[in-house]
Amino acid sequence: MLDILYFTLSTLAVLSACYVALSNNTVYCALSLVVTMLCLAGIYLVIQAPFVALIQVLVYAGAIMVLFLYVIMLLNPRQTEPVVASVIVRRFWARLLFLLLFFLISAWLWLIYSPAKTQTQWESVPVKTIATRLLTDFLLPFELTSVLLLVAIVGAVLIARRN
Amino acid sequence: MGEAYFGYNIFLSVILFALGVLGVLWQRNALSVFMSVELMLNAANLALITFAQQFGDAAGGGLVLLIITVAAAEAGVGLAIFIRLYRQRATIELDKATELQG
Repeated sequence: MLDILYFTLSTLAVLSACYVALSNNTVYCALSLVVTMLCLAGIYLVIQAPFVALIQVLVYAGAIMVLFLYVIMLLNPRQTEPVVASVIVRRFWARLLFLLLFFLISAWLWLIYSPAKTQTQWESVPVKTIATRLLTDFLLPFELTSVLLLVAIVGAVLIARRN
Repeated sequence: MGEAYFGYNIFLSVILFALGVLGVLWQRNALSVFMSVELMLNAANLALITFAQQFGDAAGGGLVLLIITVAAAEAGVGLAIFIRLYRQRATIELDKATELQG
Protein backbone atom coordinates (compact mmCIF):
# COMPACT_ATOMS: atom_id res chain seq x y z
CA MET A 1 0.00 0.00 0.00
CA LEU A 2 2.75 2.43 1.04
CA ASP A 3 4.83 1.28 -1.93
CA ILE A 4 2.04 2.09 -4.38
CA LEU A 5 1.59 5.51 -2.78
CA TYR A 6 5.34 6.17 -2.88
CA PHE A 7 5.80 5.23 -6.52
CA THR A 8 2.70 7.12 -7.63
CA LEU A 9 3.93 10.23 -5.82
CA SER A 10 7.48 10.00 -7.17
CA THR A 11 6.30 9.39 -10.76
CA LEU A 12 3.96 12.36 -10.50
CA ALA A 13 6.79 14.48 -9.05
CA VAL A 14 9.14 13.64 -11.94
CA LEU A 15 6.46 14.24 -14.60
CA SER A 16 5.46 17.62 -13.20
CA ALA A 17 9.15 18.54 -12.79
CA CYS A 18 9.61 17.78 -16.52
CA TYR A 19 6.73 20.14 -17.19
CA VAL A 20 8.32 22.85 -15.02
CA ALA A 21 11.58 22.53 -16.93
CA LEU A 22 10.14 22.45 -20.45
CA SER A 23 6.80 24.29 -20.46
CA ASN A 24 6.32 27.51 -22.40
CA ASN A 25 3.48 28.81 -20.25
CA THR A 26 4.63 30.42 -17.00
CA VAL A 27 1.33 29.91 -15.17
CA TYR A 28 1.23 26.17 -15.97
CA CYS A 29 4.89 26.05 -14.98
CA ALA A 30 4.07 27.45 -11.53
CA LEU A 31 1.06 25.18 -11.05
CA SER A 32 3.05 22.05 -11.92
CA LEU A 33 5.77 23.21 -9.52
CA VAL A 34 3.06 23.24 -6.83
CA VAL A 35 2.21 19.64 -7.80
CA THR A 36 5.88 18.66 -7.51
CA MET A 37 6.14 20.22 -4.06
CA LEU A 38 2.95 18.55 -2.80
CA CYS A 39 4.22 15.18 -4.10
CA LEU A 40 7.50 15.74 -2.27
CA ALA A 41 5.54 16.55 0.89
CA GLY A 42 3.72 13.23 0.49
CA ILE A 43 7.06 11.46 0.08
CA TYR A 44 8.30 13.12 3.28
CA LEU A 45 5.25 11.70 5.04
CA VAL A 46 6.00 8.22 3.66
CA ILE A 47 9.63 8.35 4.85
CA GLN A 48 8.52 9.39 8.35
CA ALA A 49 9.39 13.10 8.32
CA PRO A 50 6.00 14.74 9.05
CA PHE A 51 7.48 18.02 10.32
CA VAL A 52 9.33 18.65 7.06
CA ALA A 53 6.20 17.68 5.11
CA LEU A 54 4.21 20.27 7.05
CA ILE A 55 6.83 22.99 6.47
CA GLN A 56 6.99 22.05 2.79
CA VAL A 57 3.23 22.47 2.34
CA LEU A 58 2.95 25.62 4.48
CA VAL A 59 6.00 27.58 3.34
CA TYR A 60 6.86 26.22 -0.10
CA ALA A 61 3.54 25.23 -1.65
CA GLY A 62 1.74 27.90 0.37
CA ALA A 63 3.78 31.07 0.75
CA ILE A 64 6.52 30.94 -1.90
CA MET A 65 4.30 29.68 -4.73
CA VAL A 66 1.60 32.24 -3.91
CA LEU A 67 4.32 34.91 -4.22
CA PHE A 68 5.34 33.43 -7.60
CA LEU A 69 1.78 33.31 -8.90
CA TYR A 70 1.18 36.84 -7.67
CA VAL A 71 4.19 38.16 -9.61
CA ILE A 72 3.18 36.13 -12.71
CA MET A 73 -0.29 37.66 -12.63
CA LEU A 74 1.24 41.12 -12.04
CA LEU A 75 3.69 40.95 -14.96
CA ASN A 76 1.61 38.76 -17.29
CA PRO A 77 4.61 37.50 -19.29
CA ARG A 78 3.88 36.24 -22.79
CA GLN A 79 6.10 34.08 -24.92
CA THR A 80 5.98 36.07 -28.15
CA GLU A 81 9.64 36.05 -29.17
CA PRO A 82 10.50 33.51 -31.87
CA VAL A 83 13.02 30.81 -31.00
CA VAL A 84 16.32 32.10 -32.41
CA ALA A 85 19.39 30.07 -33.35
CA SER A 86 21.32 30.83 -30.16
CA VAL A 87 18.43 29.44 -28.09
CA ILE A 88 18.42 26.23 -30.14
CA VAL A 89 22.17 25.81 -29.60
CA ARG A 90 21.76 26.47 -25.86
CA ARG A 91 18.95 23.93 -25.62
CA PHE A 92 21.11 21.32 -27.34
CA TRP A 93 23.84 21.84 -24.71
CA ALA A 94 21.16 21.81 -22.00
CA ARG A 95 20.01 18.34 -23.12
CA LEU A 96 23.60 17.10 -23.21
CA LEU A 97 24.34 18.51 -19.74
CA PHE A 98 21.13 16.96 -18.38
CA LEU A 99 22.06 13.49 -19.63
CA LEU A 100 25.67 13.87 -18.50
CA LEU A 101 24.70 15.04 -15.01
CA PHE A 102 22.05 12.38 -14.63
CA PHE A 103 24.19 9.45 -15.73
CA LEU A 104 27.38 10.60 -14.00
CA ILE A 105 25.75 11.14 -10.60
CA SER A 106 23.72 7.93 -10.94
CA ALA A 107 26.81 5.91 -11.87
CA TRP A 108 28.79 7.46 -9.03
CA LEU A 109 26.04 6.70 -6.51
CA TRP A 110 25.78 3.18 -7.89
CA LEU A 111 29.51 2.67 -7.31
CA ILE A 112 29.61 3.95 -3.72
CA TYR A 113 26.23 2.59 -2.65
CA SER A 114 26.37 -0.11 0.03
CA PRO A 115 23.05 -0.64 1.79
CA ALA A 116 24.42 -2.83 4.58
CA LYS A 117 26.70 -0.18 6.03
CA THR A 118 24.33 2.26 7.70
CA GLN A 119 20.93 0.58 7.70
CA THR A 120 19.01 2.10 10.62
CA GLN A 121 15.34 2.05 11.44
CA TRP A 122 13.67 5.09 9.90
CA GLU A 123 11.43 6.70 12.45
CA SER A 124 9.66 9.97 12.94
CA VAL A 125 11.73 12.59 14.78
CA PRO A 126 9.70 14.56 17.34
CA VAL A 127 9.47 18.29 16.72
CA LYS A 128 10.85 18.91 20.20
CA THR A 129 14.13 17.20 19.26
CA ILE A 130 14.44 19.25 16.08
CA ALA A 131 13.73 22.45 18.01
CA THR A 132 16.33 21.56 20.65
CA ARG A 133 18.98 20.92 18.00
CA LEU A 134 18.02 24.13 16.21
CA LEU A 135 18.31 26.27 19.36
CA THR A 136 21.52 24.70 20.69
CA ASP A 137 23.85 23.34 17.99
CA PHE A 138 22.47 25.49 15.16
CA LEU A 139 21.75 28.65 17.13
CA LEU A 140 24.09 30.87 15.08
CA PRO A 141 22.77 29.75 11.64
CA PHE A 142 19.23 30.11 13.01
CA GLU A 143 19.80 33.71 14.12
CA LEU A 144 21.67 34.52 10.90
CA THR A 145 18.67 33.23 8.94
CA SER A 146 16.35 35.58 10.80
CA VAL A 147 18.69 38.51 10.02
CA LEU A 148 18.78 37.36 6.38
CA LEU A 149 14.97 37.36 6.26
CA LEU A 150 14.87 40.92 7.62
CA VAL A 151 17.45 42.08 5.07
CA ALA A 152 15.53 40.32 2.28
CA ILE A 153 12.25 41.99 3.28
CA VAL A 154 13.79 45.47 3.35
CA GLY A 155 15.74 44.80 0.16
CA ALA A 156 12.72 43.47 -1.76
CA VAL A 157 10.61 46.50 -0.81
CA LEU A 158 13.44 48.87 -1.71
CA ILE A 159 14.09 47.24 -5.10
CA ALA A 160 10.47 46.87 -6.16
CA ARG A 161 9.11 50.27 -5.12
CA ARG A 162 8.48 53.04 -7.59
CA ASN A 163 10.74 56.08 -7.32
CA MET B 1 9.47 1.84 8.24
CA GLY B 2 10.56 3.61 5.08
CA GLU B 3 14.17 2.46 5.06
CA ALA B 4 13.65 0.50 1.83
CA TYR B 5 13.24 3.83 0.02
CA PHE B 6 16.80 5.11 0.54
CA GLY B 7 18.08 4.30 -2.96
CA TYR B 8 14.85 5.38 -4.66
CA ASN B 9 14.87 8.69 -2.79
CA ILE B 10 18.43 9.52 -3.78
CA PHE B 11 17.64 8.54 -7.37
CA LEU B 12 14.54 10.77 -7.36
CA SER B 13 16.61 13.60 -5.95
CA VAL B 14 19.20 13.21 -8.76
CA ILE B 15 16.45 13.23 -11.41
CA LEU B 16 14.83 16.35 -9.95
CA PHE B 17 18.18 18.16 -9.68
CA ALA B 18 19.11 17.31 -13.28
CA LEU B 19 15.67 18.46 -14.44
CA GLY B 20 16.22 21.73 -12.57
CA VAL B 21 19.54 22.27 -14.39
CA LEU B 22 17.83 21.44 -17.69
CA GLY B 23 15.08 23.97 -16.94
CA VAL B 24 17.53 26.75 -16.05
CA LEU B 25 19.23 26.36 -19.44
CA TRP B 26 16.05 25.59 -21.40
CA GLN B 27 13.73 28.42 -20.38
CA ARG B 28 13.92 31.95 -21.73
CA ASN B 29 11.55 33.47 -19.21
CA ALA B 30 13.16 34.73 -15.99
CA LEU B 31 10.27 33.47 -13.85
CA SER B 32 10.47 29.95 -15.30
CA VAL B 33 14.24 29.90 -14.77
CA PHE B 34 13.66 30.91 -11.16
CA MET B 35 11.13 28.10 -10.71
CA SER B 36 13.70 25.60 -11.99
CA VAL B 37 16.11 26.88 -9.35
CA GLU B 38 13.42 26.18 -6.73
CA LEU B 39 13.18 22.67 -8.18
CA MET B 40 16.90 22.15 -7.57
CA LEU B 41 16.52 23.39 -3.98
CA ASN B 42 13.71 20.87 -3.48
CA ALA B 43 15.90 18.06 -4.81
CA ALA B 44 18.66 19.04 -2.35
CA ASN B 45 16.13 19.06 0.49
CA LEU B 46 14.94 15.57 -0.42
CA ALA B 47 18.51 14.22 -0.40
CA LEU B 48 19.23 15.92 2.93
CA ILE B 49 16.13 14.51 4.60
CA THR B 50 16.83 11.04 3.20
CA PHE B 51 20.37 11.02 4.58
CA ALA B 52 19.16 12.45 7.91
CA GLN B 53 16.65 9.60 8.23
CA GLN B 54 19.21 7.03 7.15
CA PHE B 55 21.77 8.11 9.75
CA GLY B 56 19.13 8.78 12.40
CA ASP B 57 20.16 12.43 12.90
CA ALA B 58 17.58 14.96 14.05
CA ALA B 59 19.58 17.84 12.56
CA GLY B 60 18.16 17.15 9.08
CA GLY B 61 14.75 18.63 9.85
CA GLY B 62 16.30 21.79 11.30
CA LEU B 63 18.65 22.25 8.34
CA VAL B 64 15.80 21.80 5.87
CA LEU B 65 13.84 24.43 7.80
CA LEU B 66 16.77 26.85 7.40
CA ILE B 67 17.11 26.02 3.68
CA ILE B 68 13.42 26.68 3.07
CA THR B 69 13.68 30.02 4.91
CA VAL B 70 16.66 31.05 2.78
CA ALA B 71 14.74 29.96 -0.34
CA ALA B 72 11.83 32.18 0.70
CA ALA B 73 14.17 35.16 1.17
CA GLU B 74 15.78 34.44 -2.21
CA ALA B 75 12.38 34.21 -3.91
CA GLY B 76 11.30 37.56 -2.44
CA VAL B 77 14.42 39.45 -3.56
CA GLY B 78 14.52 37.70 -6.97
CA LEU B 79 10.91 38.47 -7.77
CA ALA B 80 11.45 42.12 -6.73
CA ILE B 81 14.35 42.29 -9.20
CA PHE B 82 12.13 40.85 -11.96
CA ILE B 83 9.45 43.45 -11.25
CA ARG B 84 12.11 46.15 -11.56
CA LEU B 85 13.41 44.59 -14.79
CA TYR B 86 9.88 44.45 -16.23
CA ARG B 87 9.30 48.12 -15.40
CA GLN B 88 12.47 49.20 -17.17
CA ARG B 89 12.09 47.24 -20.41
CA ALA B 90 8.56 45.74 -20.42
CA THR B 91 9.87 42.19 -20.79
CA ILE B 92 11.43 39.53 -18.56
CA GLU B 93 13.04 37.55 -21.36
CA LEU B 94 16.55 36.83 -20.12
CA ASP B 95 18.05 37.09 -23.62
CA LYS B 96 16.99 40.74 -23.75
CA ALA B 97 18.96 41.78 -20.66
CA THR B 98 22.45 41.95 -22.16
CA GLU B 99 23.99 45.18 -20.86
CA LEU B 100 26.59 43.20 -18.93
CA GLN B 101 27.42 41.24 -22.12
CA GLY B 102 25.87 38.09 -20.67
